[in-house]
Amino acid sequence: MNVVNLRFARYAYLVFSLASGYPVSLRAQNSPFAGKRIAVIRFDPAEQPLEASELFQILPLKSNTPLRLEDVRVSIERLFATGRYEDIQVDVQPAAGNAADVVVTFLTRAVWFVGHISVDGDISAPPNAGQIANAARLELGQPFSDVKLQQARQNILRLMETEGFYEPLIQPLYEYDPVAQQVHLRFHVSSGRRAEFTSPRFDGDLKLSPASLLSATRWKHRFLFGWKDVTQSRVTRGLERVRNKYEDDGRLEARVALESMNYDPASGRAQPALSIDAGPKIRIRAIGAKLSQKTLRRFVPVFEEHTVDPDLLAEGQRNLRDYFQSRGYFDVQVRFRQRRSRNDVAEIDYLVQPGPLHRLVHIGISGNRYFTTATLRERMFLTTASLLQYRRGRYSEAYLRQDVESIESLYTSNGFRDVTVKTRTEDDYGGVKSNIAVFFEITEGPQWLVASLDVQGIRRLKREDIVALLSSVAGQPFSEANVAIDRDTILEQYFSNGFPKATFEWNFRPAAKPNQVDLQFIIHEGGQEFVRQVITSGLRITRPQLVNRNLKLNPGDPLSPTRMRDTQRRLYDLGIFAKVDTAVQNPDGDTPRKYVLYDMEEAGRYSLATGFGAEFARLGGSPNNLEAPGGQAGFAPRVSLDVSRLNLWGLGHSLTFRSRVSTLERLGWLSYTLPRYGGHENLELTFTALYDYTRDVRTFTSNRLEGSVQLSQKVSKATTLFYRYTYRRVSVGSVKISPLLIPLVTQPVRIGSVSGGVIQDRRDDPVDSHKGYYNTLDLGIADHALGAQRNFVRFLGRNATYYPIGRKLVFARNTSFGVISPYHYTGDPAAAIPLPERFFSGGANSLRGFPEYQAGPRDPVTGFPLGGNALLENQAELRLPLIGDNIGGVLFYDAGNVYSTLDNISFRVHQQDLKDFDYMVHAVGFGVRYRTPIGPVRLDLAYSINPPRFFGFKGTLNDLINAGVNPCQTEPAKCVVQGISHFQFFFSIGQTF
Amino acid sequence: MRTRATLLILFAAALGAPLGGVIIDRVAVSVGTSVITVSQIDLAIRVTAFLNGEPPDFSPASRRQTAGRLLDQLLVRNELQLARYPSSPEDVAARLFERFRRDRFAGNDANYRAALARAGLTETEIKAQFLWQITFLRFVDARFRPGVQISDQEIQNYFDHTVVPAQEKAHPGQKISIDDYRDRIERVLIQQRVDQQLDGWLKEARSRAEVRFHEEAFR
Repeated sequence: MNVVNLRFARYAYLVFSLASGYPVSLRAQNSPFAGKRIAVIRFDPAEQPLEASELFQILPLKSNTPLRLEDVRVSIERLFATGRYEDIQVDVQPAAGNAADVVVTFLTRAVWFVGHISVDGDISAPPNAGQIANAARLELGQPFSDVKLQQARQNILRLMETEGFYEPLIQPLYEYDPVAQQVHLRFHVSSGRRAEFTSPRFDGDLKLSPASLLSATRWKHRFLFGWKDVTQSRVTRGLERVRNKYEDDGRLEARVALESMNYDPASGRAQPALSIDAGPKIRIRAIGAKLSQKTLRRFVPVFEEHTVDPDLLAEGQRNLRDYFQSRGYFDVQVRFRQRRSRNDVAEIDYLVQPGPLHRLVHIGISGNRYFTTATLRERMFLTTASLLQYRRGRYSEAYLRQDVESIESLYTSNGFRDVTVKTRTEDDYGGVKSNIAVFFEITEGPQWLVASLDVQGIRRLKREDIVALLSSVAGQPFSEANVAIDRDTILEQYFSNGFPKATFEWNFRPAAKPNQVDLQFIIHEGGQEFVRQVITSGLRITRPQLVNRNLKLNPGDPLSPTRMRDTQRRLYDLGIFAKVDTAVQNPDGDTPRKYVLYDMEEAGRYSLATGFGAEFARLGGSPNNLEAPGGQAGFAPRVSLDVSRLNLWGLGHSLTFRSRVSTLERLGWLSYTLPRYGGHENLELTFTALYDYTRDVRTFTSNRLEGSVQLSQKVSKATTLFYRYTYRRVSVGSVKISPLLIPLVTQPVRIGSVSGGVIQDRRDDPVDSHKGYYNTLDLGIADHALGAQRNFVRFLGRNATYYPIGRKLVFARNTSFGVISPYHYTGDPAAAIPLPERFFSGGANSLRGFPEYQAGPRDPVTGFPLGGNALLENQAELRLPLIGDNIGGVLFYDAGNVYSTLDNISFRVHQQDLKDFDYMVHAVGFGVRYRTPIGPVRLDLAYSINPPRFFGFKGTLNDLINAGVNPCQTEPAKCVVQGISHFQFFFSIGQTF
Repeated sequence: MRTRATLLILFAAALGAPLGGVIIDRVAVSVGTSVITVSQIDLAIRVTAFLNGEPPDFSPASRRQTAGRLLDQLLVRNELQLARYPSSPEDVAARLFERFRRDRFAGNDANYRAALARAGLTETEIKAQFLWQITFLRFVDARFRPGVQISDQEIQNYFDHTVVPAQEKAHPGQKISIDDYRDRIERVLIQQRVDQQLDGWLKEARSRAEVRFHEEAFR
């Protein structure tokens, strides 16, 4: 009986089938030409995609040798393996004049590769040209074929249909680059008419009325007749709204799907067909604890997934348990109960037994010898209760699990392969009811070390260089994590040296000594590849030399993906490209020299930004009003408009106009920037013209017309130097000071100055720094020789440092020092410096004991700030967490002032008289920070310990002028003592410094 | 005069024309950057015919069918290379070859040589083919066999629905025990499952690869 087949009977057939083509040698006698001498080898066409040297190197066929058909086949295989041929035939014919010789001709057809893809034509967005080009899914550098073109066309058609265009015209146009075998494709697209929605068809068990569903889709104009145009986003949003409609009705399992869009060419309308299964109403409740529907929605994924299954319900159970535990109910029990649908209603109850409230007051860690407890705590989620941030501590089973994994992972990666971490929770810890403690008991086990490392297979690179980078060397801890790091290190070295097929294997065996291993790394280098040429495409107006200067790959260099990415980043950094794609052409081809492609899409040449905002601050009253020299609350709306012209002349230069108009300021700013000036990557030259009319300092209005040229030099990642020449004309108006001084300070003044400076920024995060430092120095001189009407030297320096204290606290401090020193002046040195050139300080970003720009000397008559020639500020902050992870607090202390001159800088605490402003003002306070993606939102409340008091003139500017040269004698009733308030508050974005 | 000139041109053209130029090999199927040439297809047909003891069939349909088999072979080879499968021992292949020669030609070396010559093949080609057989069997065993598990229920089902009816047909009334067949049934089921997996893998490998048949090569 032969009921059961023999094993591998089926294999045998396959073996037989597959084996019959084993590539063995063809016999010479299969062709009459075999064995004849090859007189010459030709290629048709003569221009081949491979370089001549490479071509003849890979061919086993040689002239003046007998023709072997096996060599012919191998020649075809090798040529084709380069990936640069679409078809190869080998023709043989007798040589002219000698019948014993033959001429071998390779008839070849080269492959074309995908180059730049662009889209133009009459296109109605959406989709825009970029989306259409992406939809084609033709990948840069990949072989191009008619099949792929048809697929690309289909992809575009599909995209157009989803956007409501059912009759688009798509015409591909080709531009061939025979040198690099690239074909650049331009899809000329005419969108045609966009379809309008028409009454959708609702199929299935609706439960809701079609009219209400139609209303939910919002595909019909609400107040107008007719239907909206079809777009993908409208269709998607419409379906989402229908789902939400069912969700609002409690039908969480409702299935809503778009079955089809039926387009009617005659009417130009598309009818959506929706398949709906409403399902029963699902009622989800929490029993045993108060939970809002919002909280349930957040933690029970049934709402989000639109389906009810045991897995999701169990996930909701876990989420709810973690939620209660994170709120202090560490003993919470959560179960769920599902009741079948009755009368179109199914019920799901989460049964919650919260148990008593707990506080996590202690975390004990024992058994750790290799790592300190502090090191372990840094990696843990569990947190003991604290006054503000976590009032009941942070605890949940999920956190506990993560902490155990985190500790185990840390030990394992350091060679403790047998580590175990057990946890124990103790209730009523320390005899206090509801206080709990969690204990982590660590059994480290032995540390496994590497006894020896044997690295095999390094042949083309320097072995010492690679081994020096490895961490799993003799004597070091042995762990899979370290091996993984070493693998990445080794492969990175190979990839960056042009070995794209390098692979890594490893193994180990126990060494002679206990808890030690002999480790072996085996590297398969694969072939090394080099750059044949770098080809760029997609440039329309950009000059090629601008791109070429930034290419960090040259012909003959190892083909390094790292350097390819570096070049890509540099091209992006030019700021003129919306997209820079890079690829190796023909990546799978077996050829050592490859084209590296950069395909660019130039960004829009103009960029426009508009902004609206408002400023709330102590802004002061009308220009003629001398009330409240210390400032009073005000409101200033603001509008801004920025226009940039990018990539000017195709050289990457940019011209930018910025403007800002508010009730306090009118600013116009035009700059012309030459990045990478003179071909130097670290230089940038900027020409700027500026008009600024401002009255943010309440004492005067300032008019500034300025031109400047600045060369900035980035000497390192953290350090930038700049050199600047500035020429400006400043004038002031609406001056609220003693009439005696008005003629002097209101004269327009021209200032020509040169300055230089340095910025050092080594902060970990410029928006919200935790460690590092930030230094700025700026030294300038204004002199008659530079076109200035005043001579002075100006210096301003700043040093800020940030220190983390433990895991949660940051101590930050900032010191600023500035001095303006006039020389070759006549008269009062204090008046030698024009008002707008002086130092003004105070406010949210400097001394918080003052309102904005209210620090320093003041006019003895009106009490308005005059600015000073010296500045000294010191700020210190302790930044701490407050509530949860996103709300923090700040305790701060600010001290300093603006002084009349350098000589008058003083640390005195008390104001000597009402005309003494050269003393140090101290302020303390606290603030709240709310973390947002654009930086912390800040509210600071400051208490100034010794704010200045001063005379102020109660009246209008006309009153002041009418009161003569000595107003307080003429109108003593109007000269009253005033002062800066002890309390100041500020609301803004970003840390103070 | 015109006639003489025409004859002169024709003569000159004849002298300058290629004398018997012929395409001796070309690409028939491409898979990515790998190829199957026309000469490989011809050889495969001849080897198949030799092993089957049949005359070779070089018809377009046969050539296309052979190309399809070679394509599957190429995919397996690529996988072998990619996954670094160990090479197969040549002595096993040599034993298979010797058995084939003994069985087919009853140990008559002259007959065997004559058959080889008629087929236009060499012994090296036949031996290489048996080596491939071993390589392929090992690949299938290593790649697909470990994932196949046969349950007792499946064995029982096969016994009830296949073995027992066949037994009844062959020997009516004779009782058989599943224990006598268990191992063999398990082997068959494993083989079937491995076959399915191999077929699926080949199908998927074909769909992943960029396969192109050069139609001109099959005309």
